[in-house]
Amino acid sequence: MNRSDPPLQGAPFAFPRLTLFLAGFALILLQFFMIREISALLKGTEIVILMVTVAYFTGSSVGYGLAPHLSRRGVRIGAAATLLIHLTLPFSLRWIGGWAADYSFGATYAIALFVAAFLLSSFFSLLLPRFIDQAAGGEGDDPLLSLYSAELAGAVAGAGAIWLVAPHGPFAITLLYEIVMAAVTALVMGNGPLSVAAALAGVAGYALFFSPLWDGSLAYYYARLYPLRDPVPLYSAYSPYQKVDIVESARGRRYIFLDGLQNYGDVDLSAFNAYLTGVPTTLNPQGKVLIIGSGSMESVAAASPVSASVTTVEIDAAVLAGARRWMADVNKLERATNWTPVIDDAKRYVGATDERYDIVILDIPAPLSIQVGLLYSEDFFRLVRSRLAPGGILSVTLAGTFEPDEPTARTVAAGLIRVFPQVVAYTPTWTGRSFALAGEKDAFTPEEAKEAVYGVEKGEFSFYDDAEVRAITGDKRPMTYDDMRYPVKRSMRRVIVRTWMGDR
Amino acid sequence: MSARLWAYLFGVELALLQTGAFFHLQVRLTAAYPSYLTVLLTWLAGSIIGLRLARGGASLGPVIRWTGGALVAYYASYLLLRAFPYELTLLPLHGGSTLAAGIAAGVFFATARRLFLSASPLFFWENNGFITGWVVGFVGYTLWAERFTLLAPPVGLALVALAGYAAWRRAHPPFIPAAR
Repeated sequence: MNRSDPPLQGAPFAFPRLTLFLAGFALILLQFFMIREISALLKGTEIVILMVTVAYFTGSSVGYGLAPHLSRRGVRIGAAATLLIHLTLPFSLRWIGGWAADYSFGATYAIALFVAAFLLSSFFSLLLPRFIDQAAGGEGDDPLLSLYSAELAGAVAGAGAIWLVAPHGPFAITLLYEIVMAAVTALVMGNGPLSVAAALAGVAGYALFFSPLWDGSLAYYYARLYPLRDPVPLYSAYSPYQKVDIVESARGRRYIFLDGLQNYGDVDLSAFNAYLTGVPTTLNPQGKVLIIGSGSMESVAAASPVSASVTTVEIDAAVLAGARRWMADVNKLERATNWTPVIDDAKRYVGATDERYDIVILDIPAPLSIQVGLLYSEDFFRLVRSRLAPGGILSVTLAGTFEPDEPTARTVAAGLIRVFPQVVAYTPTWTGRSFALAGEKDAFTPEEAKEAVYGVEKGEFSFYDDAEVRAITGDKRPMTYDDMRYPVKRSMRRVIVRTWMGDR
Repeated sequence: MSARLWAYLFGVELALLQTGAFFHLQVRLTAAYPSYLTVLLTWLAGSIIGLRLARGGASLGPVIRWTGGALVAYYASYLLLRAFPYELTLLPLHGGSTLAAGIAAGVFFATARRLFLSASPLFFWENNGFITGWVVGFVGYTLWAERFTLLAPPVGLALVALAGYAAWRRAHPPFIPAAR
């Protein structure tokens, strides 16, 4: 028993169960959108998401620790301050983070993590122990049972609300959160209906300015963090996996950002799709094609006219929705009558399907997270091989330049050479990125592969046949389901480079 | 100190079970949202059930039994994933594993409350343990993959049982809070 725990200060708060239910509801919403927002601000990789999540849960400890030490007035001030800060957070963090990045991206990290640890969840976690302690000492059940149950029930309701509201965009989920937060604040302030009305009126006024504030802060952030002139936000979504933004530069080029990391937009990223899709479909025309990932869906435009059928498997419905609406000029989905989109995890889809494909294209970002790393793993390549039709080809980016001292490309290649009897690689000179084609010995000859690359490149490129690929890869360890050290290491390296070496 | 240590270690154990379940599902079933939502909802619902189950309880036994049960369910889910990978129709059964862990959490809070005069340090230390367990679970999975996710939780349970026994013996007779 900890008899040294300080006594509570002040009179009890009213409506504790309702307040805690709403607090649990708000906490789940806050966790859903603010972890994504802050991760995107810091260009979310595995380590960034871990740091933000840990900082967020640290905020709960801050609240639990403060609970018995604050007076009733202190809790009320905390409620009002949290509401005011949280009203600005979706925008202010981008302005502050973008401004700080001009001096050092490390400063952006420090600000974002400070906010996550002290200004997000800490107020909410003040309430539960506070209310339990104020109700303790009487007869009947321990108040922890009913009060903690109320908060947990609120969290369940909040998870249901996310399911319903998140597909309607950031405005819907942010506004819902601010309304619930306003209600919690009003209940804690304790002035009855007047307090509730004032808080809700404030949120309603705020809703009127949401769009210009959202667009302005997003444009500012991307202009600071990337060399984009006068970017105009077109689309944003908080998906269950990441934050998705599509913006248009002053030159009319459209960019996709996933958790703040550029997924599509530069000329070389467009060329990336041309190689990844164009080379295998030249080698194996009129086949059945499976595209994993795809982001902009530009690879559908390249594959569809020269294939019998095209299936894309994308885990994130928000990416597909954004690409359909805003990338129509590059993906030409309306013309792709032989295209079938599937929303699923690629591992599950490939593992469960009975279909056999002539071409599988792995159109995914570099392995900076475990989730993506699993798709570059030896185990996944083995799964893909088992779903290839006779003569089938896997086309994959090596996520770097294939050279003896480049670890990422060799790590991906290490998985390929352990699974496929034949692997060739090529590096078009003007992209600086390498690609690989893998299949059985009779799937293609090196000469045919070289000719197919020449059909896209029209210029210089480096080409490595199977023996050269195996020699350059050497004994590099591949990513496997049992060894996901590489994406975490690479993510860690990026964090270090950005915080301490000033690189954005 | 021993009650706080018990709460801290219990938080670590819960996080090891949760991160382990996440990684197993992500690798062997699906990384898509239904997995995450199932873990989240069953965990929350289990905690509510656990709070009800432990109502009026005043001994360490149910906490250890339910945590042990959660561990058995955790292994059962893993074996099911190995036998039937990518089988989404089995997701509710995997949810049973996290439901059991949620129940253990609820039983723990309702029982451990008797060792704390204020609820604040109980939640504070359990949450600190959870954060530690989350980081340890992540690093452990990254370095040792399933060797870690399969071996760490029983070690955690042994530590929880020892710390719980010490805390329970030290705080005799336990404080019994009741509603006003």
